[in-house]
Amino acid sequence: MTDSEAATSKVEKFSIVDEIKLFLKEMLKDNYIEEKEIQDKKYVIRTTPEYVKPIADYMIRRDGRLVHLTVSDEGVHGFEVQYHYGFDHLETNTHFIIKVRLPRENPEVPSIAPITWQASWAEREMMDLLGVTFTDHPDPRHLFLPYEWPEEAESEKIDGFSLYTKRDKSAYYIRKDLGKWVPLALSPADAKLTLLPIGPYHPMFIESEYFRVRVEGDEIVDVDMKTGFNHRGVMRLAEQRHYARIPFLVERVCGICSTTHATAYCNTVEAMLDIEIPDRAKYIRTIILELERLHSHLIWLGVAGDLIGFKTLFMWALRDREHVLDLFEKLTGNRVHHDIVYLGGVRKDISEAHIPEIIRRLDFIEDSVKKYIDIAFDHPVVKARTMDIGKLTLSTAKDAGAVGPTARASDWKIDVRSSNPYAAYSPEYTTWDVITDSGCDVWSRVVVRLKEALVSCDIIRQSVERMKSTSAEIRVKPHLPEEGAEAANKTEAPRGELYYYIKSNGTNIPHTVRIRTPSYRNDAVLPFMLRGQTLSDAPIIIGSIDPCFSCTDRMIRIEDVKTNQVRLERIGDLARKYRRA
Amino acid sequence: MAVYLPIWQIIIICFALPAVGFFLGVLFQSLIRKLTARFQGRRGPWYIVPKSLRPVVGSTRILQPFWDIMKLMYKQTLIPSTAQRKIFISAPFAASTSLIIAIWFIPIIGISPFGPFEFSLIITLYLMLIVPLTIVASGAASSSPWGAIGSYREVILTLAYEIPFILGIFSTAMLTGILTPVYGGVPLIPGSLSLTDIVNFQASHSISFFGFKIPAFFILLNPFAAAAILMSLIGKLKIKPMDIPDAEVEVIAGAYTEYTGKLLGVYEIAKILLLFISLTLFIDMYLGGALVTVNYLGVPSFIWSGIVFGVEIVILILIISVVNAANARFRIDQAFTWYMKIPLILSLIGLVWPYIMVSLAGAGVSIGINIV
Repeated sequence: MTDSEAATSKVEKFSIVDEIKLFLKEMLKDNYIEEKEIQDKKYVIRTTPEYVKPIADYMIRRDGRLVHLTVSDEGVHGFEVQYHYGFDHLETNTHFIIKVRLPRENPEVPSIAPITWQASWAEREMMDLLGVTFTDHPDPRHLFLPYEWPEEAESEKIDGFSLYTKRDKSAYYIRKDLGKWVPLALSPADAKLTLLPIGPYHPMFIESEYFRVRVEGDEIVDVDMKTGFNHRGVMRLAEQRHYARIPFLVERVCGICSTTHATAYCNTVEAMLDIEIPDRAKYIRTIILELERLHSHLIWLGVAGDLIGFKTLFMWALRDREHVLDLFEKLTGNRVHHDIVYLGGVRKDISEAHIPEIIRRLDFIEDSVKKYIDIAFDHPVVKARTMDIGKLTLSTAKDAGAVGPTARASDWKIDVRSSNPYAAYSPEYTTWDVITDSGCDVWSRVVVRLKEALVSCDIIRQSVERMKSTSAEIRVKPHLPEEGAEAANKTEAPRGELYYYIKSNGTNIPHTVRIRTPSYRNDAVLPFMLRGQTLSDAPIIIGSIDPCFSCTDRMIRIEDVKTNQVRLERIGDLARKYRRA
Repeated sequence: MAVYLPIWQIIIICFALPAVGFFLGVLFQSLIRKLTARFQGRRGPWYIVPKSLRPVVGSTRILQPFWDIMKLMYKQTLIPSTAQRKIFISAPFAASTSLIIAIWFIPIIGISPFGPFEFSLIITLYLMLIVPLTIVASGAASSSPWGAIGSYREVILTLAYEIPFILGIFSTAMLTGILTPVYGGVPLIPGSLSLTDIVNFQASHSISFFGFKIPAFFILLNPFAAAAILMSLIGKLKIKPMDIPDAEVEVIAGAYTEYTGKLLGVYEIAKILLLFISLTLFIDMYLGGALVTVNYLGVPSFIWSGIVFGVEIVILILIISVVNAANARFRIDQAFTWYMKIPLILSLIGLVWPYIMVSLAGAGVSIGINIV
């Protein structure tokens, strides 16, 4: 009797964690191999490869997000495929990492891309980087490698290059079934369709990226994207460095959001070591992170202004950004890569003498941002160019996995700073609100970012004020993690959720470092926004997610909305077909 | 009726005027650049030009647009092998040549070799229309998809701004014929289509505007048409809300995408000439052609004319620069809708405005304007 009472009370207290664990135990039974809690509410569950699809199906239906999918090379033990499911938008900190082991020979695992779009890029990336085959992937082309990358020496060779690799053959056959795809409106059947290359070098982009846009008149029918022009292999580099040297490496992933990378890395290592950093360091990290968000949002506003032809806004925004850079120089000694966040705390203190200047410059920036909000609300041409453009509905944003301001402009209240508090963002340190907007269009993204800039100013003011009453200690000494220790942690970069996963092998260099940047997700959402829009709006729609191709360096299959058919075409084919005799 | 200069003077002016027009256009262009930079809060590089370079670039850099073109003239000219070669090469020259001829018909402070010709206004309008036509042709001939999109945008924009432009110009030209007899003035020509006549009419008449005696500027007599023309010129000159055909981030350079070197330089010359012609035409039509006929203070009248011309140009360029700096770029459908909404309605009001003035004066209603 008492037992059943206890059981019923337990059922009432069921959290999402318990519910998911119970379901997985029921489903997997003997294949529920191992379970451990790596940090607060972050669980690792090991199972067998045949269960990845049912698990993915359940997790997505349970409103989970596939935060990342990655493969870790375990040497003689084979490959370890990890599915990182996040439930932190429902319950603070909750994460599940589902792991499966694959043999080293013929590593094959069913693809979960048909279940969720969020897995598509990650699986392609892992097929590129580690050679693990995800069977039945709907778009098995290369993501980072060039399409004509020679994979098998024995395969069909044309002009010395093996054009059809094992994986790409499927793409070739799909295309062959659909008949000849003519790019420049030469065939009568496709006469209405025109193909336009945007990139890799185009005035629209600061970085190199290749979009293929198919237009019918002025309307975009479908979009394809190729990444990989900036790939530098930062994750691999990090796996060859001492823990102490990695913060400075990962800051180089991105020139605009550098500190947030270092913070995410340091948070992850600190979680592995289970150390708490001093309060003062938390406040200093928050100040630098929020200044970085201000800097990023201002520079984005300028670029967005330039994309709709508003050069004056571009110049003004970049002028105001100079104030942030000057502050960085004063506080950290560097203008771009700050190198202030370090394992166990921060490297430099912010003294009392700096505070008046921080407040003075913040006042100026706040006034400018209010002026830009007025422009966004009142300027007729700006409104005409941004309103009802690039719609991303809440359901699409959730399905495709948008993060950051892009998701918040679709009225999805998702912010790592509140769902997964780090530095001084939790309510006991600072109080602030998550900004959302229900417009779902480019204009909403403008407004969300500008209002966020105001919130950033507020957070910096609070941090500066409360920092005065903390002790002078800014750093605790870290030590090396134990063997097998692993941790996953994330920060809210200016562009959205930045995810880090690190695993130790007991030496002074980490065994696995995995980085999932926010643009990696938002870029994958781009085709959903671009289809049906006009070509004139393509730049501002692409710009509205604040794409950082340097971070991502990673787009997509072609999907014909008119006929609902998938067509795949490779650059190598085109080059060969249209090469001059 | 037309009074022409002696033939040797006409020949000299025919050669000198385009050169003067180009030089002034360069000055206007650099003024627009300087003003836009100030509005945008740009600081620019702060350095002193070395002495050895001063004869070449000058110490003030006001000739920068000219040196930009000169640089292009030194560069290699590449022609895409897939381009329609004849059209591709001849289009920039057709644009520049038509504008050079147009300068002969437009009075600059009253000086013009062929201005007195009866239909010089119509000829000028047609010659100015050749420029968008060549841009469309060169974009289509360049065999680049971006050129094709630029051409398509140019066609739509030209259609949009050309209607209020033509309506506004002709409603203004009617003023010379309709107004004078009614307001007690001496009728010069019944509705002249000669630019020199239009300029002379404004210079020889004055109006009492609520008691103030001022020259008979058509901008006062028909402000609606003047506003419509100014809005159309923004499209003609590709000023900011209307710089859609060569929007950099959207279509790279539109019709000019495949142009390089000297051919692009010739197009740049055409752009400078078009800026000069558009502003001069506006001054001729609405601001009295900057023509002063009296030797005030013993200073020759043409010097006064030059000063007035300069002041009027600076005001116009100030307006253009403000519009350029304060706006984002329209989408092509939005631009077309805007032209169909505001300038077209203004020019239609301008078209009936002379008749309204005449009927009001006939009915004895004072609107505060009297031609003397």
